[in-house]
Amino acid sequence: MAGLLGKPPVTDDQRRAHDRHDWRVVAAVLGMLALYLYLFTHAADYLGLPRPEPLARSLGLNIPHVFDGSHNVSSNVVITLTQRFDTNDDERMVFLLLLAAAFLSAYFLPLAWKQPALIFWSLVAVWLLYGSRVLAALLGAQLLVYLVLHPRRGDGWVAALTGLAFHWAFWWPAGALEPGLAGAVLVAAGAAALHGLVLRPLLARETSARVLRTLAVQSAIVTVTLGAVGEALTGRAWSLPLGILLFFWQWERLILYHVDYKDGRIPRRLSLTRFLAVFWNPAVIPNWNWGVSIGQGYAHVHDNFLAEDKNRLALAGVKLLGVALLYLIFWNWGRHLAVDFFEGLGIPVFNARTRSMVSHFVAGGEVSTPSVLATTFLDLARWTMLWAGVVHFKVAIWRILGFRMEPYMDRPWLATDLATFWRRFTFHYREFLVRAFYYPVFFRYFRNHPRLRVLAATLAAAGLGNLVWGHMTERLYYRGLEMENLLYVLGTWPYFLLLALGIAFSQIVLLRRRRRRPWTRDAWLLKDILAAWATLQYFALIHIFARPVPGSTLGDLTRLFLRGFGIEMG
Amino acid sequence: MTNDQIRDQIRRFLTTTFPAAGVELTDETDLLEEWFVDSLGIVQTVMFLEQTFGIQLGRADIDAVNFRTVATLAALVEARLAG
Repeated sequence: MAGLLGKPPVTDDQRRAHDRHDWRVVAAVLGMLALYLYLFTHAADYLGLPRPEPLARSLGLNIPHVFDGSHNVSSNVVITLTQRFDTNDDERMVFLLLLAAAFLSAYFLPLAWKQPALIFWSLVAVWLLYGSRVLAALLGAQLLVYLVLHPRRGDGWVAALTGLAFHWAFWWPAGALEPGLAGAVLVAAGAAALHGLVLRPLLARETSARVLRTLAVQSAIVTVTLGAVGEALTGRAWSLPLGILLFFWQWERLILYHVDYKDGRIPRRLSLTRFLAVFWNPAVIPNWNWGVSIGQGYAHVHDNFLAEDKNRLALAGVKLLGVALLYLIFWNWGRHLAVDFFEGLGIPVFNARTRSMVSHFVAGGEVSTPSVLATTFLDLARWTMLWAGVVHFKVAIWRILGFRMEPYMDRPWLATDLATFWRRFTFHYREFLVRAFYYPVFFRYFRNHPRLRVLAATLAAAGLGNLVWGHMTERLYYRGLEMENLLYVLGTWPYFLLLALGIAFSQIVLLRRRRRRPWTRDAWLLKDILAAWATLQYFALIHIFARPVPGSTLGDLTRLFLRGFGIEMG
Repeated sequence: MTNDQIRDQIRRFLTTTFPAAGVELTDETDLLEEWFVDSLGIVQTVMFLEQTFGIQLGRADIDAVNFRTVATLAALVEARLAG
């Protein structure tokens, strides 16, 4: 159970003891990054090497669904929401080269400079990949949060910097330095004055400080809710500046930061560098909006930095990069193989897409029980493989940069109950839900009623928190701040209810009996296999409610769901 | 209640609730690495400590320092009983 609660924090002396250089490890990390560069970018062209597809063919490897139009390996690791370069291959190349620089800095610089270096390289990466105005908006928003959470004397310069960042992001005239410069001086002075005269006095009072902290931490959900309601009333949807959107995408990390803050795990007088180190790490940049909770909040990031020998951490990162590589290369090939297998058996699986099956069913098409089971199962396998490649890649980056970081996904097919599956499938996100929603309910309500206590806490976390703070916010950022999108997410409530009830049920059952370690080689091993399949299948089936299509009703989805159990209704 | 008595009760709870074949539970056994089956084990242990010793734990108590060993759990209980 490594990673259950992490490990006790380490001291700087212990970190220094973990900071021994080993050139073989450096070579292994750089070698793996070079392999990524070769497979997923146009590096072969620059180096005069054959591209990956012709090379594979020359070696007799003709694997379909692996290569893209430019004869590289098609990749799901992308730099999200930017088009400053011609192709995503170029963006990946910039990122991987900067990652190599960040690794070398974090590896060889003295301890005090390692995390500042990671912040620096992240700033450079966002600047190059997204542009200076996006960088400024993102940085400005984070500086504002810092000012609200960590007020102290003498931070007027941070307020001035915040004003300057927003000025550059939103108001500085394009291509004109002088008029902008004059405005910048005014804005910086104004921001510092506003901070001293308004913000600091408000933060000195407990009630107004609490309101401001909540607004800062919950700004993402406040914005999407106001945006959706505003769109319903006026018919006009807000368009968020990219820098602000990137800030909002980190809302899970910000909420976890705030949980650490409330739990007293963060020094109130925290340096700006230590604050920024939580949010500015190269690992958050690729697929910015995937696995946002990886790394979690302040305590997790800082307690796990150089918490073990850095070479062991880096090699664990290289190993995980290798695992990610397998998923990134072969997931689509594996998907097609599985689809062809079931179709060959005469079981339609709708290209492993539950939504396609729902569409077919709603349109009056026939769907058999084996088809429901196989389609939902393969859909789960499809996006698990797709997701695994990316989240393993992100966790691996944290590791090679010196952080002891648990995998986001840890062989979920070994889970023999839904509670364990929840942890194995989405570890960091589960931690977000548990710390932000489960614990507050668990430690406040029904203390004398264990089952009710667990049920209420699980409904709060896997149900309400997961729906509103997890998926609702995400959906509105993906699809736009519109009421239609809000209602769409809220309409998927049966999925969240069934998930929460399933997790709560498995916890309550486990509370009642002595616990046997699953997958022990004894007479109950077959039961483990069946339990693992049932767990996966249940999780796959309830996704029918998370994939509504235009025109589908709750009744349609329920009938299809029950058909998965062989029950014909209506 | 003495620290030894608290340790005894915690040890008895852990060995009956989470039997781990081949691992001997001592006061210094790393519970997070070698004993708990999953995070539900933490939740169960919290409920056990609260009911058995009549203490109240908060979410800030759930960390790797307090839940590391039988000895650290006993120290947590002892501190709460004293305080």
